Amino acid sequence: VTELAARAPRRGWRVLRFFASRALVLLGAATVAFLALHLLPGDPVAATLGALPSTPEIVARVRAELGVGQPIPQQYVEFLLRLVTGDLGTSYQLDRPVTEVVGEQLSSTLVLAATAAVLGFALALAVALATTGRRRRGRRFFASAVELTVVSTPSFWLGILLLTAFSFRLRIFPVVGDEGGVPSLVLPAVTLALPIAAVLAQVLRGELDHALTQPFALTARAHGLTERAVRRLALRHALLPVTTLAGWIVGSLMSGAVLVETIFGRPGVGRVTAQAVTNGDLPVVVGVVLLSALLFVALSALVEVLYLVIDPRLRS
Amino acid sequence: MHLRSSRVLPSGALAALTVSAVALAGCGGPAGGAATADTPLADKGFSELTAEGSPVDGGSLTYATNQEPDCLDPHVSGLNAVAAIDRNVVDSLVSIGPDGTARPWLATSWTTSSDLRTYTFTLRDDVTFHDGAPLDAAAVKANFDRIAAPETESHLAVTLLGPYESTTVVDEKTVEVRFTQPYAPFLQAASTTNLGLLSPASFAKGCKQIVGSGPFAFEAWHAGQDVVLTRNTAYRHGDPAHLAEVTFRFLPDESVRLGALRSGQADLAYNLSPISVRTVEADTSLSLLAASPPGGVFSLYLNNASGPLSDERVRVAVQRALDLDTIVASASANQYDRAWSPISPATPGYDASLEDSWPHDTKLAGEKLDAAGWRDRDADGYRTKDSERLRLVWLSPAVESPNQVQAAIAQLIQASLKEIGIELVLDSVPVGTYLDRAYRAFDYDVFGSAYGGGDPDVLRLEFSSANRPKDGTPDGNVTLLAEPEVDRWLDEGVATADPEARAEAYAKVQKYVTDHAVAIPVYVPTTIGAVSAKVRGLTWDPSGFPRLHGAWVVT
Repeated sequence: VTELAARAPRRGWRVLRFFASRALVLLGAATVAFLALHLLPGDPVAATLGALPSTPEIVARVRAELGVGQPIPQQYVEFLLRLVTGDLGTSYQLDRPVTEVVGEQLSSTLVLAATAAVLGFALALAVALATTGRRRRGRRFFASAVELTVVSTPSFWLGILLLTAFSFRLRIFPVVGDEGGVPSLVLPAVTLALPIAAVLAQVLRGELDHALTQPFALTARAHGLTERAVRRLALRHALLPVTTLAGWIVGSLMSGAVLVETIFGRPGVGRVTAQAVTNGDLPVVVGVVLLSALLFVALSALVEVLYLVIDPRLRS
Repeated sequence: MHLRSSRVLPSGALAALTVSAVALAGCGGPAGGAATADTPLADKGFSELTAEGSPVDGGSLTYATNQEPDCLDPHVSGLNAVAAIDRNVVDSLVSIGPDGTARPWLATSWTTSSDLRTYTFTLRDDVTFHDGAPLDAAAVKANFDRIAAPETESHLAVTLLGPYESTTVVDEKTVEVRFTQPYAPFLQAASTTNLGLLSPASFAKGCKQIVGSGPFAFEAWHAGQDVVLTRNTAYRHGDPAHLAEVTFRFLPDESVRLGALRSGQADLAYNLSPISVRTVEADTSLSLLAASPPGGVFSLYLNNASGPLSDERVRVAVQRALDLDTIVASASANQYDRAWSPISPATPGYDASLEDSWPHDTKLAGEKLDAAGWRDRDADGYRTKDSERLRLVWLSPAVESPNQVQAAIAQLIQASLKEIGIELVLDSVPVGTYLDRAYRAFDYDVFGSAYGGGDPDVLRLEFSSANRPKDGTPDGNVTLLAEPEVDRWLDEGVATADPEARAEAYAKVQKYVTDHAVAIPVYVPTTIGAVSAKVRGLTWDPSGFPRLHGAWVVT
């Protein structure tokens, strides 16, 4: 009993540290975003107005709205305070709150990314299971070659190839939009999923191969377990490194969405990002950076929990 | 016209001015269904598109275009992408016919005071906005006052209003627009989409909708995807539209727009590059759309104020060193015409006598450079003076998808200049740096740009001393020319309504520009699109947009 009582505050301390370290990461991201916004060369007033002749009244108005001219530290503190209240500022180009601009596009991207992630993982799992182990040299060689080709193909090219084949020629799937429901989701999701599946399949196969040579696999076989059951055991070992790749997967989904959404004419955060970068609409770019940081932090927390689920040895 | 990326960054050109001003040349809707100002799409083999057979009511049309609007309000936004959509939704006071004269639209008649400072319009009495509000004199006043108000933050419309003073409601159907100075381009400006009339009740509703009085009404804007218009069933001031629905779908990638069109998922693809022309021509189910609207041409604006190009002899050397016939033809797959004047041949007041007046002449170019003291050569073959290399910087903003034609032209020009010993550095920099260097530090020698606009007054934007950028505020005259004579001619051009007197004033400006190599006109901007053979009755808006008012789709 005394031991449990002693452990409780220590656990509280650990939880606190867990959250504090993540808050620090977010603060770091916000700071970098702020510096990018304010220290990059260029006049935010000019960016807001676009390159058109504007009257001095308009320029003065925009300067006041943007808070130009106040000392940088004061702007920084105000920026952080606004962030805490969920205010990411106003888009230069669209003249609307960034949270609104990004928020209304978020669901479309989440649907696309989630579909692609599930698809990518399922595909990788199927390919890895089908090509691992002895007596499968030919299959493995073929799968490896395909994976390498997919990984080295730029995703916009992959998207255009898929579009040309399945939309323009065979006319199975529509080219554009997300109003078409599931059919219009297929090609973009596949485009986004293939590079992820290719990398995951390579990693999974390597880990599976390694796990299948471990003593526990030998023991399992010796106990007369079927090869299928042995693979299931090995899979658990192989999944751990894959979980570590979660951060990479999210990054790949986010950057992939920029290209895929643009090519397929889909609404989404990626499309908004592409436009904001082109237009020099920094508040939106910063909003997306912070959103990504939040996503990474949330995910890395989730991954730590997942480790404990997958590998009981880490729980102690 | 270059309808590309963004307000801040038209590829390689001076930002918004390029992209935005296309809308200038508005277009005429049929006033009373009689005189229509639309010209048939007869340009470059287009006659088959004019009304053939009897129109079919109903049906929908999908219009694939590259750029999504930033704001649907044409008073606020200056983008072509916005005007192309809005032209179908808003009407204007007058329209401009193919001969360049104003015709009735929402106004049945008008008078102009002799000092060109007061315009009095008599309005139709049968027009209502899509929200049911009447289009009367008070609505006109509310529109113009709103455009002029600083809090509207108008990008283009406010410049079209010129020296606007006030609008007076004389009676319900009569309205008087007053200017502080003579303003001859006003009728042309009033014909544009950007000075189109919106329901005053819709002003407060923001950018995400638009309420006009045109043949189509705004239905929905699905951000990142499309804008949908539906037929205005209450349209009484002309023949109603045939199409029940029009969808403007945003597909930034050109190959995807073309693929969507060829597979029947779109009926019209807009803003294609010259490279696509061959594909379109080879497909019998498609017709090519091409138009060279009035306005400024794509020019090299030379820094007349500082650096090597402040010496006129060096500017003339650059001008004559370029074989523009060959450069433009090869960069645009023979689709664009090379330019001789800073304004396009379709612009009223275009001076055709400038054609062939400054031919390619490398010998003359060399002599000019020798005379300017750039005689010696360094190890790389470039000319030097006082052991300093003759080096020019072409400043442009780095954009995501640069205009391929302009990029090719820049490289060909670079090669041509190298031959006579001038080093041209193509300096593509991030937006922030770009705005600063272009408009505050004037740290460039060459600036590539095309300014839209239906009136020769676009020359004011390009060359008036009052339009030089200052203190980082972007403006049109990046040559930094400050020539009292040119300013005077530009003032003469807006102080008279007589087309011949105007043409004479503007001819002097055009001649000055080419004689002194203030800027080097390069090519006449041409908008290219493609349309399915199922689409009939399309017309060509004077500013280079397909107009859907009279269009229908055969099944």
